[in-house]
Amino acid sequence: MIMTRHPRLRAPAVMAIGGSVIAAAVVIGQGWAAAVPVEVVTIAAAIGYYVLGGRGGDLGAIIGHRTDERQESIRVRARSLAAQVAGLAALAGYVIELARGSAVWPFELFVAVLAGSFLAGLVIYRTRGAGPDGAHEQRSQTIS
Amino acid sequence: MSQREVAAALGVSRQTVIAIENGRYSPSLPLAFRIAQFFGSTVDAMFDASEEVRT
Repeated sequence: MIMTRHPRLRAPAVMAIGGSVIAAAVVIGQGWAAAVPVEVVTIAAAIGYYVLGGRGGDLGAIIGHRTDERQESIRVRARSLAAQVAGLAALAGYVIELARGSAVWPFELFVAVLAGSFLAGLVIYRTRGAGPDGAHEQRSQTIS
Repeated sequence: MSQREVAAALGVSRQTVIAIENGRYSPSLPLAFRIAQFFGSTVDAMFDASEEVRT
């Protein structure tokens, strides 16, 4: 995780770095011309995220990493939903590619990583004795 | 006292104060204690355990 002194910069920074890595891969595979739109979209998305992160309300707090415990639980649940949908999408892709007789290893890898990280999460958070919001709860206790 | 002032004193957002008031969110135990302390009351006097939170 990227740690910054300005939490609002965290999500845009991750987005900018991730997008730039993808753009670099596009440069290698398809050349500069194909990579430019990827980088433009990345920069636009990072700026958009930065702007959203400065707004009030739950969405701004979550994107800007200024959450309280309720907003943190919303974030955790949203991430859980996203992971479930990603898993289902990978499963659907796996079945479709299997039926088409194409290479299925990327889907197998994705599902294996997803299942492995779920099991790792069970082991880690079972022994930690905190809720899904454990780290945040510790922070809250420090405040009081 | 405004919701904004209560939120600032408790270290949470105004939306969270509203959600707790409306019964849409059950605070964690540390936050429940802070709320009770802030209002000079006790947790069991502030929160009704028989009330179910709408999720």
